[in-house]
Amino acid sequence: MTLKKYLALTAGAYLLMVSTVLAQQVTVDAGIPEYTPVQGISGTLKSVGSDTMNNEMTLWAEGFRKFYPNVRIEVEGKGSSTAPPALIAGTAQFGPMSREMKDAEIADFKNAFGYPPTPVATSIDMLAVYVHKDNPIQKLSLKDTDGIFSKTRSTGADNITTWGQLGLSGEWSGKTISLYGRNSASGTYGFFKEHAIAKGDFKDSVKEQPGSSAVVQAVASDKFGIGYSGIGYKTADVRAVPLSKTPPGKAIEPTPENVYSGDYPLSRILYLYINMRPGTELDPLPREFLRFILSRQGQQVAVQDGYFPLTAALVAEQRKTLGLQ
Amino acid sequence: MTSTRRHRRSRSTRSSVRLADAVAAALIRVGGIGTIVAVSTVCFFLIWVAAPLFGSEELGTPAVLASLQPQESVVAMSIDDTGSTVLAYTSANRFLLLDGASGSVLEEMRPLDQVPTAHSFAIGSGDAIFGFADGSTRLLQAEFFTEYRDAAAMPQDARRHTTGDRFVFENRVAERVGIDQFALRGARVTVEDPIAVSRIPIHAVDLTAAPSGPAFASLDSGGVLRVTQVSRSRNFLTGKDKLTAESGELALAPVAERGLPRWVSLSGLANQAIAVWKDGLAVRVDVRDLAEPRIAEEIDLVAEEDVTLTAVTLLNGKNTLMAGDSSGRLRAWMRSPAPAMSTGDGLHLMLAHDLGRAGAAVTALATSTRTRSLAAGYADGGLRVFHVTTERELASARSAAGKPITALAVAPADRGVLAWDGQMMSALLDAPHPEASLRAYLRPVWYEGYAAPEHMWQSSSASDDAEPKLGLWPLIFGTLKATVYSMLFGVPLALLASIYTSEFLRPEVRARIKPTIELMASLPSVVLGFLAALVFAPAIEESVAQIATAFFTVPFTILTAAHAWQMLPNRVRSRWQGYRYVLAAGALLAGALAAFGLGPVVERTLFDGDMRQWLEGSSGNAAGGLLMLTLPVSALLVAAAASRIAGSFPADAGSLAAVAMLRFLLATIAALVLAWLAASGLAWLGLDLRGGIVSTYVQRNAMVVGFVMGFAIVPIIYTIADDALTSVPENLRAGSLALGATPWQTAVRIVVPTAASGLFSAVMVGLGRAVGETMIVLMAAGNTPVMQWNVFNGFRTLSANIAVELPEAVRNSTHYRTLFLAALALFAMTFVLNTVAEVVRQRFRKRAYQL
Repeated sequence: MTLKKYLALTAGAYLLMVSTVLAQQVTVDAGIPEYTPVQGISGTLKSVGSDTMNNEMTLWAEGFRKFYPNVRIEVEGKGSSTAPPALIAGTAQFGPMSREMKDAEIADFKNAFGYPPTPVATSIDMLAVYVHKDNPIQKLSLKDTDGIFSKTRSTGADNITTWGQLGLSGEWSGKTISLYGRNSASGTYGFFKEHAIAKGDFKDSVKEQPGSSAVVQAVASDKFGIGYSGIGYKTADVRAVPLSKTPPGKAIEPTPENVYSGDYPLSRILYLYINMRPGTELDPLPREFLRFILSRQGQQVAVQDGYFPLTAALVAEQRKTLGLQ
Repeated sequence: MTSTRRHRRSRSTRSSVRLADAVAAALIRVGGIGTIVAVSTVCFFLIWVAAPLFGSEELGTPAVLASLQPQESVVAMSIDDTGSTVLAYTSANRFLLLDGASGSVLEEMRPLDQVPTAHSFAIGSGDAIFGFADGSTRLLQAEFFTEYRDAAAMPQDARRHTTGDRFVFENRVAERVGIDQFALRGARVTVEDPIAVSRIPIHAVDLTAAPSGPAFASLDSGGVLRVTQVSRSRNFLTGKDKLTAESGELALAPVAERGLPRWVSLSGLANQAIAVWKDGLAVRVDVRDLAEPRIAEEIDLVAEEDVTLTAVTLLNGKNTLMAGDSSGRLRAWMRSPAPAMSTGDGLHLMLAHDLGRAGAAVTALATSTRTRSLAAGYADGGLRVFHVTTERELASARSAAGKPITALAVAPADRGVLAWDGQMMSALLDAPHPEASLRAYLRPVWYEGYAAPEHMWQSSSASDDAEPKLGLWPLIFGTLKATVYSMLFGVPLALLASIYTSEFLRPEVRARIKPTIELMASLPSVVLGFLAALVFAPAIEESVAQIATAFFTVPFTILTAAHAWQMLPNRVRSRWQGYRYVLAAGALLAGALAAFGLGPVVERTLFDGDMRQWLEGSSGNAAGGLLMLTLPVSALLVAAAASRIAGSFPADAGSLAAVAMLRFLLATIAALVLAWLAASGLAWLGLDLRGGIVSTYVQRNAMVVGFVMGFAIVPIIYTIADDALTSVPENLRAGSLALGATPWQTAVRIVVPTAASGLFSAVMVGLGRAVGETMIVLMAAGNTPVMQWNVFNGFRTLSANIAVELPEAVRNSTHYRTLFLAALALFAMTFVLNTVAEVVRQRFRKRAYQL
C-alpha cells in the first residue's frame, strides 16, 4: 500500500468516526422533559474524566452554549480514573466516568469533603468487540473473549491465539490474533476486565491504545486485529461481533433493543460524578447543565454520538436525586 | 594583529567592559548553580514522593472499646469508614450498634426470629447469609448510613459543638460537618425472604458477591454441598433488576468417614467451592457448570499428624485460601494452572505463600477489603497484619489480657483492626502502602492465577478486589529494549553519514545536507509517533521480507556501483569526482528497488512463502532466518580472505578495476555459499532464532520504533559527530595524504581516532535521548509489558508508562508513588549514562590533546 493511500484512509477514518454509526432507529423517550432556558446563567465549567465520554461531553457543551453563549465549558478526557482526583482537587465540577467509582476513590473523596460524590446517570453505552471489516467471524462468547484476551483465563477457557482456533479457515486459520485494548486509566478497560475476562489479567500482548478511537483505528488498519471499545466509536472499517454470555448461548447483536432489554452482555451506564453536599442545592450553572443533559435535547446528543438515551424513568430518578424540577 | 596605526591604549580596562564581564560571570554562575539546583530539586522531589513507599507500618496497642454481658460474645463485627460507629453481631442473635469512641450501645436490632446454625459475611459489602435448622437460608444486608440534618433542626445544646466534634444523639453518632449541617451516622439491617435449599439443618455457608450477582455455597448436615447463583440483569426500560436463581448440588464423599467439614468457601467468581476439614483435608469442587458440580481435587493442607487447622478464610478477591493451624503457621493456597496434574479442571491448589509461624495457634483471620492484607489473631492474644502477595509481616501487637482472639475485622481503608477476646478491642493500623517493597518491585512475585512467581506490571483495574501487579522489571526491560533497537538502527547510520559528509563530500554539498538533517530534529516526536503508528507500522507489516532483503541488496548495489565507478575512464572520473554522491544515491535506490523485487522471492525460498507464519514457528525451517545472521559474518570473512590473496595484477588502471570487480562478484558468491552452508549447519545443530530475537510478528513492534526513533536520534548524533570530525586539525589530514594514504585510510585511521571523544559523546547524547523518549514509544510500541527481546513485538517503557498512568493514579496511592519511583529509576538511568559518557569523553579528550 502506498503512503498516500494510508493517509487517505486515516483521514477517512476520522471523518467517518463522527458521522456514521448507529443512526439506527434510536429515539429519545417522549416522556423526557424539554429543556427551557432560564435567565442569568454565565461562567466557566470544567469537566475532567472519561475518554469514552469525551465526544459526548463536548457535544453537550456545544448544545448548552447554544442557550447560553456566555458560558465557557472545558472538556478534558484522559480516562475515567482522572475524574476523582480532579473532583477532589476541585479543578473540575464534573467528572464523567464510564464506570462506577471504586471504594478507594469514594473514600478519598469522603476524606476531603465528608460526604460521598453524587453519580448522575447520563446515557447508556455498549462495549463492542471489534474486528476488521473483512473478518468473517460470526459470533464470540464471553468464554472466547476470556480465552483471547486473558492470561489467567478464570473461566477455564483455552488459550486462543489464532483465528483458526475460533473456527475460521483458509487464509485466517494460521494467523495470530493481534490484540488491541485501552490503557488501564479507562473505565472501558476496567469494565471489560470485569465482565469479558472474568476479572482475570490481560495478556501482555494486548496493545494498549491511549484512546477509544485509537483502538478502532488500529483494528481498522490491522486485518488480523481484534479490540474493544465503546459503540460510539464504530466506523465503517470495523465490525462489531455479536456476543453471547455462554458458548452455546444465542449471539446478541449490539442493537438498541438488546441493550434496553439487558440481554447484550456488555452494556453499562455512563456517569457524570459531581460534588454535591447532601441536603443542599446545586449552583445555578452546573444545575442548568445537568438539567440540559437530562432533557430531551441532551439525550438527543447521546443518540447523535452513538450512545443510547436514558429512559424516562431513569431520567426522572436522576432529576429527583439532584433536586431538579 | 598587526596595525600600522599607533595609538595610545589606556592601561585599564574600560568600566563598561568590566561591568559586562562581571554581569556575564554572575549570570553564568547563577545559571550554572541554578541548573544544579533545579536538577537536584527534581531528584529530591521524586525521592520525597517515592520515599513513603518504604516507610514502616505500625499497629497500635489494642485498646478495650466495649464489653457485653458475660455469656454473650461477638461473632462478627465491622466499623464504618469514619470510625464513628461499630456494628456487631453476637452469639445472642442480635445486632448491636456501638459508638466507635465510647463503645456504648446505641441501638439493638433483632432481624432474625430464628437462631441461625451457620452464617457468613461477604467481604467488603454488608451482605450476609444465614443458614437455619430447617434447611433454609436468608440473605441479609447490614449497612452503615449517614443522614444530613440542618443545624436549625438540631436542638440548642447540640448546636454548641464545633466542626469535627462527634457526640451521641438519638441513637446515632452525630458530627458537625459544616457551619449549618450535621451528619448523623447509624446502621440498618434488612433481611430478605428465606430461600429453602435443603430439608435438614444447614451446617456451613459462604456468600460471594460475584459480578453476575450474589452467590452462596451451603452445606447441610447430610454432607450435601450446594451452590446457588442469583443472576441479576438490569432492564433499563423498567429500571428494575431481573433476578433468577439457579443451583447445583453434590454430595461430599469424605463426610461418611471424617464427618462434616468445618469450613465451606466459594470463590470470587462463584466458579469453585472448597470444603475444608479440621484435619487439613480440602476438597475443591469445580462449579463452572452449575448444573453439574464436580470434584476437581482432594488435597491435604497439613502434613503433620498432630497439627489441625484452626482458622480458614478466603483473601480479598476470594481466590486465595488462607489457612492457619494449631502450630501457629499461616499459609496461602492458590488455585494455579497445572497442566501436568490430572485434576478435573487443569488447576491445582498450590502453596504459594508461607507467612511463617508464631508461637500460638491461629484463632481468627480477617481480610482487608481493599488490599491483599490479612489480619491474624492468635491464642495468646497476639495480633499480626500481613501482606500476603509480598509475604511481608507488616506489623504486630499483643492484647494486654493475652486471651485467645476469636473474632477479627479490618476497618475500611485498612485504618485499624477490631478484635474480640471477651472484650471488644480496637487497634489503629498505619499501613498505607502494604504492596510496596523493594523485593516486590524487583523480584518475581507469585500472583493469583499463575503457576509460578513472575515479573509483571498490571497496575490498576476498575474493581477494588483486583490484585495490583507492580513489578518494575518489565518497564525497565522495555526501556532497554527500545534503546537497544533504536541505537542499533540509528548509530551506524548517523556515524557513517557524518564520516561520509565530513570526509568525502564536497564542502558546498555538505553545507546543504547538514542543516537538512538537523532540520529533522525539529520534527516533534508526537508527529513521528503518529506517523509510526498509523503509517509506517501497517506499511512495514506488509513488507517485512522486503526490508530484510534490503539489508543485503543495498550494501551489494553500493559496492557494485563503487567498483563500476572505478572502471570508468580516468578522464570521466576526475571530472565527475565531486558528484559521486549522486551515483551513491542512485545505487541506494537501486538496492531498495532490488529488495522490493527480490523480497517475495526471498520469502518464498527462505521463509516458506509467508514470513509471518514462519516467524510464529509454524512452518519452514530455521536456516532461512539464520542466513540473515551468517551472511554478514561470512561476507566479512570472505572479504578479509580475499584481500590477502596476492596475485599478478594488470598494470593499467582500467583492467585493474575490472579485475577488482570480478573478484568482488566472486567473493559475493563465495560469501553467499559460505553463509548458506553455515546457516544449514547451525539449523541442523538445532539452532533457531525464532523464540529469541525474532518471533511472532506484531504490528506495533520494536523494529518500527527502532526505525522511527532512529529518525529522532540520527540528527543529534549526526550533528555532534560531524562537528567533532570537522574540528580535527587539517594538518593531520594533509600529512596523512601527503604520505600516500588514500582518503579512506586517512578517514579511518587518522580522523576517526582523533575525533573519537566527540563521536562517543554524540552516541551517548543519542542514547540519553533514546532512553527518555516518550511519545514515539507511547504511540508506536503498543505498550505491552512483555519481557522478550523479539524485535517483532512491542514493549512498555518507563517513560510511556508514566505518561499513560500518572493522570489516572489516585493521588498519594501506592500506584501513584510507584510511578514516581519509576521516574526516579529513569532519572537514575539517564544520570548514570550521562556521567559515564562524560567521564569516558574526558579521558578520550586528554589522549586527543597529546596529538
